Amino acid sequence: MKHPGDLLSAYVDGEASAAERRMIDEHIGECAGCRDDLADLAEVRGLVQSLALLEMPKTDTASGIARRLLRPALAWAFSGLAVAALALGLAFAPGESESTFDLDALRDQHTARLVVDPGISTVRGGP
Amino acid sequence: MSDEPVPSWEEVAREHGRKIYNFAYRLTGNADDAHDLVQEVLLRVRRGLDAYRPGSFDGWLWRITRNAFLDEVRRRKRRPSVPLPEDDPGGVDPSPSPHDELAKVRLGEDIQRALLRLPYDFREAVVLCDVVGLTYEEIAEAVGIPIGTVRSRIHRGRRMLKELLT
Repeated sequence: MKHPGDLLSAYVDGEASAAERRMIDEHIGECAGCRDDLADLAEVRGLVQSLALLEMPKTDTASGIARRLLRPALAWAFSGLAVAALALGLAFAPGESESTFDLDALRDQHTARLVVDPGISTVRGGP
Repeated sequence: MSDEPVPSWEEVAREHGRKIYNFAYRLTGNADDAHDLVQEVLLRVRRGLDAYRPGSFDGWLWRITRNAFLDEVRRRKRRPSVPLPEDDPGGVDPSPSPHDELAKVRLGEDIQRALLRLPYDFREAVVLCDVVGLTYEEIAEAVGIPIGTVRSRIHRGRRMLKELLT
């Protein structure tokens, strides 16, 4: 009797083919070891799936992304004009955001990025 | 593999940011590392969206996510003063709560610790399957391995978890 092995995990994930499912159904009717394995795998799968889907911490993701975006742009900032444009652009950006994903802030800070680096295409999907 | 419309960058951030965070958190057990990874991934998505052609968006997104994660691990290996994911089990003392909630928190911590003890390939496969919810085909595309290998890694990862949690 050939044991299904890793097909058992595919079975609990709904990733086994119809033929494989039939074979496993028949097999576990006769094989207590594989029946126990199947129960263990389903239990472990359920435990990992039961882990809470965590919220992002309440830190300023928008500013973090903007900082990273602006990092390469510092090379452009050798001219006073670029520095001034950057300052103006950032002046329009909201301050510290408490939200997980403050998309308005992100969009505004992207706009600031576009001022110093016009090679970046416009943000898609904006209002 | 279905053809899906190309989402905007904001849609990616809104709809996938939390899952990217959870992917990184479950692989590292570290909230700061996970938060940094979300920023890095969203930047890479921002740069890559123009070149993206409709196909399996999840496969594309999670390939970027995985590559960003591995780049970060490699970068930290070059700066060993920063703990590597494997060195930092990241247990958090549970805050006071009712008994059943406390039990749930402790169980969650046990599962997280057990995940962190799995070799990376197995941990990644289990997290992509059971935390992120990708199909085997999407995992194969994201990781760049055959579906048979995905199946084997998930299976072996779960068996190891069972041993660790027993």
